Amino acid sequence: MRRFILRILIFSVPFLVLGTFVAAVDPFDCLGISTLVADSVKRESAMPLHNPLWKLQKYKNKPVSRIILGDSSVALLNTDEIRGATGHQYFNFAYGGGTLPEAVDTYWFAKSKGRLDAVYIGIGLINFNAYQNLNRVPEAEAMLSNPLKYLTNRIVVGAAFLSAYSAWTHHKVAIGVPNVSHEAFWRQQIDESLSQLLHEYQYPAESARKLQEVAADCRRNATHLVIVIPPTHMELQSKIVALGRGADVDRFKEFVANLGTVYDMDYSNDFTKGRGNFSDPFHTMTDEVMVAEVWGNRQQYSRHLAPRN
Amino acid sequence: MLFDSLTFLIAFPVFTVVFLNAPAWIQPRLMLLGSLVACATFGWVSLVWLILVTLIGFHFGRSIESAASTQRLWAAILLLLAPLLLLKYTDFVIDAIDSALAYFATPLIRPRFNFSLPVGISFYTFVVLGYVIDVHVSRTRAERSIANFALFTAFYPKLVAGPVERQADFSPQIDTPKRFDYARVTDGMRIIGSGLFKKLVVADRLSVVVNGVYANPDAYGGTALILTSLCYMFQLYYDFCGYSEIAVGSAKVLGYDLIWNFNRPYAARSISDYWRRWHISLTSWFFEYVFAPVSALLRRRRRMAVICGLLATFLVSGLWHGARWTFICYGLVHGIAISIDYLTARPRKRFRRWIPAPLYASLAWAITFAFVACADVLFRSDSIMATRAYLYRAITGLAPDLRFLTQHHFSAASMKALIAGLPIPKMDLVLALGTIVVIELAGYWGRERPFRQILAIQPLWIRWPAYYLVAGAIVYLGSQNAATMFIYMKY
Amino acid sequence: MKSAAQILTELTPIFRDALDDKQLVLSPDMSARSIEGWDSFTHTQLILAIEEHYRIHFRLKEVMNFKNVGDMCSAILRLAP
Repeated sequence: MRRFILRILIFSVPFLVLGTFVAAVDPFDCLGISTLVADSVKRESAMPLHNPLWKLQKYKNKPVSRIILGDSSVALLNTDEIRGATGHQYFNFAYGGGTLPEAVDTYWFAKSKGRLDAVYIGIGLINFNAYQNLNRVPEAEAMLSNPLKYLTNRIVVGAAFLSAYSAWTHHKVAIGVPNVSHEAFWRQQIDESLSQLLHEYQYPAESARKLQEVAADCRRNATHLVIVIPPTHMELQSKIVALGRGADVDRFKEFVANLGTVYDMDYSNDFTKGRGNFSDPFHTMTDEVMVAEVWGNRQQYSRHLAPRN
Repeated sequence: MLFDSLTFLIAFPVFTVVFLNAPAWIQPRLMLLGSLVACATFGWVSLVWLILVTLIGFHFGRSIESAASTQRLWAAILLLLAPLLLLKYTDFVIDAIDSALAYFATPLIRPRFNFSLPVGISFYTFVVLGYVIDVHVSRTRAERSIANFALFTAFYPKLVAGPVERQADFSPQIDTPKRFDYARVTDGMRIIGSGLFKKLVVADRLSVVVNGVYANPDAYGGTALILTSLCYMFQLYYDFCGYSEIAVGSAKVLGYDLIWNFNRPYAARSISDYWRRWHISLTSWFFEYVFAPVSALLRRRRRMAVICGLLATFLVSGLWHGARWTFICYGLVHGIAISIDYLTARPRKRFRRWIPAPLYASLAWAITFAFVACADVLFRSDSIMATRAYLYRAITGLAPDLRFLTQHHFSAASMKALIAGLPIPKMDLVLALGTIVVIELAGYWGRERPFRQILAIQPLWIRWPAYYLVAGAIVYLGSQNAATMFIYMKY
Repeated sequence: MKSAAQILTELTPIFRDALDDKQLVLSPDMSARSIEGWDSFTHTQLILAIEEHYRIHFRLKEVMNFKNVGDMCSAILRLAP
């Protein structure tokens, strides 16, 4: 039996080594026992690989009563600028490639950590689609509560290697940066990505119901709920209509109008017509206009949507 | 404490070391204690029901042996089934009564109880029932020791979801001393590894696409629906086969032999063949204790007796899975299919002589496989209407998909487009389906001698990389999401 | 009166047919455990065929409790002298 136990121990050595390595790098700071790799390195090499885990972990340690949910179009909002405009501290809970189920789950996660005064949700038609149903939040929550799941998650393991490589060689790792020209990327986004995203569209009944639950919960607890429809370039808006999804846009806006205060920036105006305002058809170059419109209440390139019933 | 939980991962090795080193006379008691503690981790209610059913079974075993009477047997059957029937079917019966009343007049809103089912009750109730009947027909002797009988019902590896053991097979193993045996322990671990792999790497991965599509089948085309129904077939199989292997493997490590529950069910070439390969321990229980008596009682009616026996068997087996019309219908559909199988046995034999053997075999396999796939849609769906809609959509959706493919000259991109909407990262789908192909091929090659035994005699430099592959996949590719359960736990 | 060996010879084709095994050779100590394919389902078909062949009727408990081929032979001998 001793020989057998010895063999088992030898067999498990690689797993122990890998586990120790991941714990030592701790790419998402979930264990908090090692400072071997600098936070700035992890932010660059680990955060993009699992946005929800990164942000949930940061929020868990320091909950804030005002949060922003959504996808990459609002992820670029700088909370320092918002603090400058309003005097309040915000936490940006928007994820790259974020979905509605993720926003909803993140809301309940944030709520479990303390009182919420304001919740801003950034949604466009692209997310308001039953097929956009990826949800990484339960996985992230499971990892936060169970170190073993964290140490054995393949994304975390990958992030650990990437962070260690980056720290060791001082090379910046570029994740998700397109290696084509600006113009080519723009065309590809309009002609391919959008068509792919909307090729299969279905009204997200389940997510809509869950959003209504969130809205009801906000009303009960006097939490200020704001829906932001981020601006997309006019060319993209026209293409959506050309793809036959115009009615779906109307239906989407009608739905969110009943949830809470809505800032709609996604319509034809001088801002959305200017190509220079956008880094690609989905994303604005800077967050300046969005902060001014939503938090500065400027109403130049945004309009309120009134509830129908 | 489930097999894929961290608690089990720690508790099982510790217990095994203590157990295998304990003096022989204390081992059965230690095993019983461990099993009861493990049962208690599911809650005291589960433990109380287990003890209750054990006591009823023990008492009636002795009393029936001392004086066999049909009345005592019926009393035992009723008393043993009462908790299960009460907890599992009360709400269903009230529902049925309510809807019948609603048909005639205003509905009566009667209370619903929503009982939660104690862990393993559907399994150990049948284990004890089989024992009592066996004592009655003198197939086995009544157990004299209450502790040994309790271990027979509570033995942890088989407590939660079987295999459904027979007392005649299990009890003789209780008193033999259990010692560390290298070959046996490593074989058990290989079986556990295979089970964990099937459950965590394949079944749980497939559950993502299955849950997503079944929640909203209207959103998908024919190809996607058919692919999903295949995914469900294998999810169900690998989930339960994985569970059963962990059960058999951990029992083996501890020195006990349990029944194998599966024998490559999807290789079956007829429905009767399928049921000899699927959930073997429970199916053979149903055949032994439902089919055999029913058909024996009616056997003056010749073939009708067999048909009645089969229909009764599969109706009960459907109901066993839960109080739902879809399960009843699932049982009925399989009952009818196996009856047709029985009635056409002779014509098929003649037909077999006419055409080449490989052609006959593939034809028989394809029909059986397609039938099982369709019946499994019924098993998974929420209602009979939903099943109909799913199958209708799947079949009528094939033509447009085929047109789409021909328009695009069957390009890789067009094939991808057909399954683009499936709610699973495509790499995961490829990984799961690829693994299934490898496992099924290994199963095919291992018909005579299990693959793990072939592996066991290889040199270290082949064995260990293979072990690392499986263990690494379990650790790093296993399901990470918290809320996974074994499907068969809920029945 | 038939002998047990005679019954065994007569049973062989019945078993071969029910179990779909042309090479099967019966012996009294063979049981469901030792013969592949002899399960409750084929057992019932065997009983039906035997009862039809000998025009006899086993008791229910007997049917449920045949331990091996020998048991069957002696039951047949008792019922069909």
